[in-house]
Amino acid sequence: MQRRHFLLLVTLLAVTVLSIVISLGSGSLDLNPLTVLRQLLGSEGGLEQQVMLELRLPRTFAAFVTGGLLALSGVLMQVLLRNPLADPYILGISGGAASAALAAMLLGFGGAWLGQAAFVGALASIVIVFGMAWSQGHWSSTRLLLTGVVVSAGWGALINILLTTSANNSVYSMLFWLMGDLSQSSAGWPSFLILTAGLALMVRLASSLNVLARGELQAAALGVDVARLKLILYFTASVLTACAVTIAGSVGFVGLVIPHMLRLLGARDHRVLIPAAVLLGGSFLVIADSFARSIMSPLQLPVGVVTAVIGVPAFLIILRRNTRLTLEVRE
Amino acid sequence: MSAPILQVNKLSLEVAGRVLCQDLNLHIDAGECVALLGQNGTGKTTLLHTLFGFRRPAAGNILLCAKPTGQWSKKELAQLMGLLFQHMNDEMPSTVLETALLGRHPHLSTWRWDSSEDIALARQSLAAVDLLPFAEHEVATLSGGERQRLAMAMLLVQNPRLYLLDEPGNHLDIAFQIRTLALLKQKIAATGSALCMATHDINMAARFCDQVVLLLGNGEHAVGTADEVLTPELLRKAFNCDIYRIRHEGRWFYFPG
Repeated sequence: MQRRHFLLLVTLLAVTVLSIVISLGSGSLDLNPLTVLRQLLGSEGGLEQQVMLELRLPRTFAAFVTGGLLALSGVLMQVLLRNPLADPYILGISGGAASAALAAMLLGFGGAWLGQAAFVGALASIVIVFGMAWSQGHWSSTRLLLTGVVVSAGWGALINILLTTSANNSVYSMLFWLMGDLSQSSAGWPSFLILTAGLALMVRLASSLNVLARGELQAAALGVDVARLKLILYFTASVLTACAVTIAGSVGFVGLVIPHMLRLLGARDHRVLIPAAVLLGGSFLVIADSFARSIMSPLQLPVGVVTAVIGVPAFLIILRRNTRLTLEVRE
Repeated sequence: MSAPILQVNKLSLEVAGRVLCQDLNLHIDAGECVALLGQNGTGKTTLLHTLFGFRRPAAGNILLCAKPTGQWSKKELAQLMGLLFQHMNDEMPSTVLETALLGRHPHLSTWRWDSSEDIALARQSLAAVDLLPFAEHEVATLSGGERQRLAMAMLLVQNPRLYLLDEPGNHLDIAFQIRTLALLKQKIAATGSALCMATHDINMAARFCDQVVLLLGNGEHAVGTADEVLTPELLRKAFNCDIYRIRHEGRWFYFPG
């Protein structure tokens, strides 16, 4: 491993710890980082510790897992489709999840049922897109992308139908869900395990991903079983995304922006990019969620709005830098 | 005598019901250079891809180092054969050195970082195609010819027994065309490997290749030494165009009429 890669990962670990400390301290009861650390290390008890450990810790955990899942899925989708604009939702998984979750809300279900409905909807979308894109044991990235985008548009229409035909009070919670919201969510151990398993699997395949990024034929010429790798990528990225939307709805921009930020920081080798994406994606969402609940406290914003507010300018800057990169003429 | 690197027996190729090549027999020994010539669409690339195992032949079999290609694993095939494509994709950003290092992929175990020997080999290969000063540059900033040389460097890093080249002269100026082929020819002579290239350049084929496969369309073909196959009669049949040759300093030179 190169020195700069090692430094990047160590820095990101530090950022992760910092983001967690900030998140545990922010909210309507403001705690400074020192108090947070003292509370974490000691056992002073009291209201402060109760707020931190029982309210904020599960939410911070959920934010980290969701961010990690989305950023990892984003990296995988971008390699699978070899399209820098791909994100975890591009193939319609969030649309399927949202349609099912909204339908569940319309039928009067709430709480844990929403998550389950979302997961089932996401799985349905994964199967539909796969079934339509796969023909005779073969699929092209273009075909997959087109199928995903079209299915996604179909889900969008269904979501609009559900929104326009629902009663006013349920529309409000539907909108929160659509924007991505962590206030109702807690991530259980299963989602953490899925994140860890996905990370471990992809770190193992990382050097093959480096080759696949140069194109499918080139990868095949270098001994990669491309068809198998694409299947693994599609299903891993899909399951990671399904988990993320189950926890927090469709939080935007994390899966698109984080991989690009890291590539610009020099982490293009997937052996570094993949673990780095999980760390940065996780801590980015933890920070965004801290803002979401403290900026207009006691009012809470959906975290998806905050990630977009940070993500839009960040992405525009990246796009500008990219055009400069490709237009650069060497003399 | 050791087994030939590649042996092709009664090979037939079809694409969408169109016969590209029928009953082709070809024998490539260590140290040999073979040229594939033919009009557009006669199946040069298809033949190279079939040799690599990307597609199945309609009939016949291919033995690589005395074993049918189907019996080698994908990774083993990539250790034994390297393929230079007509175009090089660069959809995702990467530097020149990172790209050259990808050639080591078939030789590495799944979870391993490039060793200092791998990096030294990549730098040496970049130096061989004059790209070492650009090692840390983005691939996107390279010209077409420089990308072609980078692809060649990647192939040198891969270090296969059989080099399959699809129009290696693409985008290269005439000096680099000669230099890269001379370099490869030297390399295969030194390492006992072999080379098979699809090309449109009859003069390059005559200069560098021991054997020529001339695809005539409709499944017909001629195989033999350059002097046997590269005759005005066969070339006219292959290209539907008058091609003349003149002799200069003991070599044939070809030009269209």
